[in-house]
Amino acid sequence: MNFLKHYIRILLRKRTISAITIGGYAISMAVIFILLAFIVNERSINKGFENADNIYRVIRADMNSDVPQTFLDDVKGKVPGIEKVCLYSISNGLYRFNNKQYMAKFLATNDDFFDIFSFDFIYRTGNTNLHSDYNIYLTQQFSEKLYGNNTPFGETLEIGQNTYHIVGVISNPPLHSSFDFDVVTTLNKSVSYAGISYNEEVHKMFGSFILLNKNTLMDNTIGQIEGMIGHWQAFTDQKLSLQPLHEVYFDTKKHDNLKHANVSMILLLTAVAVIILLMTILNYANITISTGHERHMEIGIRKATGANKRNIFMQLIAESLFISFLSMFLAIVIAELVSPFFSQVLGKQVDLWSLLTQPKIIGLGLLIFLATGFFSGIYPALSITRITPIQVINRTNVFTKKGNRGGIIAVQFFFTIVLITSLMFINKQINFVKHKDLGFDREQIMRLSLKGETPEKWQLLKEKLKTNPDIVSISATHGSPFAIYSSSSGSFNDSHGRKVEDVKIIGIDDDFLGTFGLTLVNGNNLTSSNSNTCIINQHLFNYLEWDNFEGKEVFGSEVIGIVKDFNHINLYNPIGHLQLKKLEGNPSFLNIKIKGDVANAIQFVYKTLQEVEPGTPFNYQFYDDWIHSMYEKEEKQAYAIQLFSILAIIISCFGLVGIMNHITNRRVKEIGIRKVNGARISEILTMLNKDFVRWVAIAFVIATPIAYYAMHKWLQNFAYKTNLSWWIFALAGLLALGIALLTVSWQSWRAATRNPVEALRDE
Amino acid sequence: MLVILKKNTYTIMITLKNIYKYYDNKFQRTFVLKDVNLSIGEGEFVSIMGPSGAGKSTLLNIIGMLDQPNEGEYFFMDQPAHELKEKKKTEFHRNYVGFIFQAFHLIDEMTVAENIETPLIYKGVKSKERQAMVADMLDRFNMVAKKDLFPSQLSGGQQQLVGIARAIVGKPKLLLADEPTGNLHSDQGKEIMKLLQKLNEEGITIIQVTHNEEFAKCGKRIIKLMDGRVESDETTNHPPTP
Ligand SMILES: Nc1ncnc2c1ncn2[C@@H]1O[C@H](COP(=O)(O)OP(=O)(O)O)[C@@H](O)[C@H]1O
Ligand SMILES: [Mg+2]
Repeated sequence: MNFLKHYIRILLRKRTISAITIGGYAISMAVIFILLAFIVNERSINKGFENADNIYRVIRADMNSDVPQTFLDDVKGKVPGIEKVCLYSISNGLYRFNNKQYMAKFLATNDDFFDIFSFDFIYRTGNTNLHSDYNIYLTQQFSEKLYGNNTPFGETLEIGQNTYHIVGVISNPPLHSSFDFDVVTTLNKSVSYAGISYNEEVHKMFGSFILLNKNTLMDNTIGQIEGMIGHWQAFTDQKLSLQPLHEVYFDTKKHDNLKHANVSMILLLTAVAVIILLMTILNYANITISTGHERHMEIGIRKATGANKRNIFMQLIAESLFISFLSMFLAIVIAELVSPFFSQVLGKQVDLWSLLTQPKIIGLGLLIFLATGFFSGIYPALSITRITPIQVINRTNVFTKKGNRGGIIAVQFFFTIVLITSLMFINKQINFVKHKDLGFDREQIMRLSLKGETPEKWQLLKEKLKTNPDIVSISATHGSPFAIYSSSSGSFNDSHGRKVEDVKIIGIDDDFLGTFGLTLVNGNNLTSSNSNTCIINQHLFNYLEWDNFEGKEVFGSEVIGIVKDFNHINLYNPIGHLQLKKLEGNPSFLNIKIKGDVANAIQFVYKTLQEVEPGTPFNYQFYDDWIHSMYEKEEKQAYAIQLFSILAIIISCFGLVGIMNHITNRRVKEIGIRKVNGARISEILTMLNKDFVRWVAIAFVIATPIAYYAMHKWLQNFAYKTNLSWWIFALAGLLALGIALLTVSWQSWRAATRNPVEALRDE
Repeated sequence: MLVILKKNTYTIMITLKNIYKYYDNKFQRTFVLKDVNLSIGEGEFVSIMGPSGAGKSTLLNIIGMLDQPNEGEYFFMDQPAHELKEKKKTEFHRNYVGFIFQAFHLIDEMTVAENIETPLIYKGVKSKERQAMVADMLDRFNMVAKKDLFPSQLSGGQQQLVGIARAIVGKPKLLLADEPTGNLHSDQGKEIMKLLQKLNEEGITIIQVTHNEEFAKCGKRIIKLMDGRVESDETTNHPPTP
């Protein structure tokens, strides 16, 4: 305790350097805390369920996550390891309350869902369950929204044209889970879902979750499930796999209407956090050594008065623990202050205090605290304890050896170059995806969702809308580009006996091609008279290896045209098989191409919709906005990563200034003598900068292949990849060099322009 | 406990045999000490003199085990110091020796009392006892009023008093002083010399380096070094008071 008192006096005397040391350390730790809170939170998602470790979902060989509705009967009670099975779909729908229509999120499932995910029944009438098609459950928050604190005892809710009985209220879906819904309905009443058709078979498809017995061998179970659904023609020889629940959140490739996060973002942010942590330790060590220079005298005296190496070592470690304690405290304050900003950047509430509820995290925090305090203390401690009193008494400079900091500097630059390279590539990739030609026209096309009873009146609506001169064309579709229903796909055997899998289907009318500016490579557009016809895309046509399509059919519809490939899923998936099928039944959207004044047109569409179906919600999106918003999430993530990388680069520069300060200080006398002997400032700058350039070069050589590998890995997340251009690596190296020369020159300029007499007198 | 010796024949404390010290440059070897042979008894007060660069400090540092000779043997109270391990050396520093420096070398961020206390902490003395010992020292040097001041607030003479207090608070047998008056006015210097004489009378063995003829004569024995060799070694039986 005694020496801490004395250490505090040192800190107070050297206010500037103390503030830089503690402040820099605290800022870095605050950034690390925020990242940690975010990462830990993301990683904890879906892990809170009681059965989390034994819950899986079935993934098909074509990487889709849906199974036929018959799966329930096929598998339940027939495969020994499976304790519970549920199917589900999540969709938005309308309900009527107090004579007005509102949107809600509907989960269609079966009773096992509640057991698998351990939902509590807040209230439940008798033994009722979902087996009756007109029974529903509300979540607690939704019940409160509609009925306040009253239990909806015996209440009913109108959904679509039917009246449903509220038979219970369940606990809210956990915030830290993939689920978000308001109402639970039966599978049979699930909102119109298309299905897989195979020859005569038609399957309604759903997502699945199964609860496995702890002691079950997964491989056996998969085999048994494959056997059980293999009797359907559509699923013969279907290869399946089981995906553990904790992977579901990070699997963004499935169309499952669940909440997801991008795992590559988490990994990148984790990497950035680790880099910041390492650099913080390095920086702290550097500053301690640089300033420790002034403490050599003290250490020497302590040794002469009887201190051994251990005493000195313990003293320095204690000092560094003390500094980390101070900084930690400050870091928590800073993190708390800036967390709202970072919550926005990360698109997730960053809740620092939630970290405190998890003993593991407290342990980790303590470990980081001790580790940084310890490691950032050890390095300076080791170098300072080596000082012997005689060096101090004789006033010989302890650090007359040159270049013993090269390693550290190279490490700093290594991280900096890796960060800059990644930063530029992420930027380049995001731009690339954003500006990629989708192959269809997305400008000023409104997609109007038809809900409730409107789909039945679509023809009337279309006719009325057409009268407006600002509306160029209208296409009614079931599903749409970028929003194909998760289960609107199918597979069939082609003439060579090959299975053609995962053919996406959009139901269209004859205005579709015109509205989206699509061109036919061959054949004709659909006509309003011909039913049961379709157009397929080039991709599917080429795959089928047909000479021509005359007389050919896909899913029982006659192929009459081939459309030029366009991106119909999203930019994370490559273009696949697509059938544009003559719309049968009612559409889910009207796609309205507008020219001229958009605001007027929107107003017109709204009025017309109300005329046709009074009280129906006006739900629309513009493709360009919507696609933009899809990338906005990506952009936001990229922005978050870039921001943290820039913070890391700044922290790194900060360390460089520290080192440079130390080195120039050490050479002040040398610089003075050289100047007295007539050296020019430029010559001195060159001398000081030369070493740094060498270290940047070494760091560059090591960092480039590592950055290349990392970016190569990252780009594998994307179906469309930007090039790993060499110039980015070169530019990153140059930038690092620029940063080096700037920080170094700033310091060396000060040293070089100093009056030499002053410098020499200091000794 | 300090044993007060009042004898004419001393028990031997320090024996140096054929001590050589040199530094190697790129091209040549410079000898700082050449074949130094000395023995110093308990209770002696030795002054080392000689021109700058003669090797005085080096010799003192070797005796204080801050530095090692390249060749030769050094026995301290019959222990072969040239063979001592790091641990034993620390013990030696803690229990047997106190240093006084020309530049005082007090720790800037410590008060007078804290500076004096430092060696006791490393010696492992209990807190209560420490306070008592520090209080004794302050009392003895009339510095009680200054105990909470920092070195920068003291005059040079006062700083050196603190330096001496720190050196002797642990009750060492040997006091090594490298030009203790070098940074002081002559009045202050005289005071320090009086103090050293008094300490010697109480039984502490003292070896000092000095350039001042008058101060050198305060010792009972004067050793003159020249170019790393002992040039003369005289005992003065009746040291004058400064
Ligand atoms: N670390 C060292 N490297 C090289 N030469 C040294 C070193 N330390 C001392 N010397 C040299 O040894 C000689 C004696 O030094 P020193 O014992 O301090 O002399 P004095 O105290 O008598 O003035 C001097 O010439 C000095 O330059
Ligand atoms: Mg000297």
